[in-house]
Amino acid sequence: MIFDATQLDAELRAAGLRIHGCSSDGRIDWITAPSMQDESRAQAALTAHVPDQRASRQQAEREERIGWEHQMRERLPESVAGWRALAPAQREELVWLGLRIQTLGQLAPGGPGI
Amino acid sequence: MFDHSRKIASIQDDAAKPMLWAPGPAVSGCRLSLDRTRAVSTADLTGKSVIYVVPHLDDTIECWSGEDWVPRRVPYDFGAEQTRNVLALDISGCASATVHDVYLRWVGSTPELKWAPWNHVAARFAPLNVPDIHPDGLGLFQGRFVQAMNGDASAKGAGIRPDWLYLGSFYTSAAGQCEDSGARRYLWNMFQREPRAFKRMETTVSWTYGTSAWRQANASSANQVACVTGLTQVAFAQVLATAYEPGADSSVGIGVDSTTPHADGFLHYGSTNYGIGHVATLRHAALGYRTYTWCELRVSGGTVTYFGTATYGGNNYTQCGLSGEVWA
Repeated sequence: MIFDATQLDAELRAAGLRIHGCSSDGRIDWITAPSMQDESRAQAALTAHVPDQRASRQQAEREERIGWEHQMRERLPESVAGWRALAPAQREELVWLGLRIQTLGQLAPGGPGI
Repeated sequence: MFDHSRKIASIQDDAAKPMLWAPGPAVSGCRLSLDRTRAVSTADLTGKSVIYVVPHLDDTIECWSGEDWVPRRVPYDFGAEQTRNVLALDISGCASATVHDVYLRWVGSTPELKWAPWNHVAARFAPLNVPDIHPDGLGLFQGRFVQAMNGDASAKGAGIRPDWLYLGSFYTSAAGQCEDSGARRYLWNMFQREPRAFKRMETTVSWTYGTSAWRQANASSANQVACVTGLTQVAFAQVLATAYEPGADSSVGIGVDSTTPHADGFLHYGSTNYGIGHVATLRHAALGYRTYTWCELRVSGGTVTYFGTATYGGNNYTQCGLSGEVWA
């Protein structure tokens, strides 16, 4: 099983365990030698761990954003001589583009959310 | 004809009036190798008990005849199966974790190889500070490095063995074994040196670290590269690392025989970011055996997540570890 190291680290610390860190293959780096109780709680955390696929979700979002940016570049002109030089369809695209950017900014980590 | 003393060749027999002057051949056109058929191996070679003398530039080595340096032809066999004699040294009797020198001499028409251990992994013996013995512990005789006898160099010319030509050095990865791989460059050549790449990739997907003290990356003793050199020489090591650290600061560096960064190395720091690429480098001059260690630190704040080899959609999108090179 591949553990989400960041998530597992938080779970182990939340269980009150004193650790330097952990790894995606389930290794725990103890600050001091663990007691039997510590090992029991650690094993419980490992057993209960369900990776939330954070890295995969972030990568999927990244790929979607890159794909969308590529499509925008292909559809939009390199330069414009003003708003009136754009065809109606292009104006509509730019309006949508502005909304998209605003939305992504709200969804970004640390952003206000929707 | 070839003038050995002046190391020149001429197309006329009259050496006093040469038509063409050209540099003479190298002292040795061969290299020490753990591969009988390749002077420069392309694969990782581990657990080898034989060191071969393999033609690289040519198949000659100049050896002392008692009166002059005479080019000798080295036997070789590049065949898939060995069918001829080759010049090789059996190191199965060498102690583990020890640096050894390789020497060659020609007795009559017969070549002889031998190995000689160092007193310490970083020095053949304590510097003697005498005219004909190099500070790194080799004798210098008519422009060639030869064996120097430990503790026997009280007068000019004494304590050196011109009949034993120095070819290179090796470090034993285990008793009677040597290794030449990306992570362990344990064979070094005096002649025909080539750049040998370091490579150590961390295969763990990711790991965390939340302590403000330097440690070896991923708490793994495998996160290092090592080499041996027979003369004081520079090696170059580089760490490439990726970190994810909301609310924390991280740093990476390179240690020399240590899990804390060396003072001569460059560190790389990342601060409270969602993803950062670290690059740390070190150029380091040393003699003998040493290790270059990937070191990591949580500077302050919460927990840092470091990445090794991560995959998405069947593609590796990050591969972190150590690289660099040493001429060997």
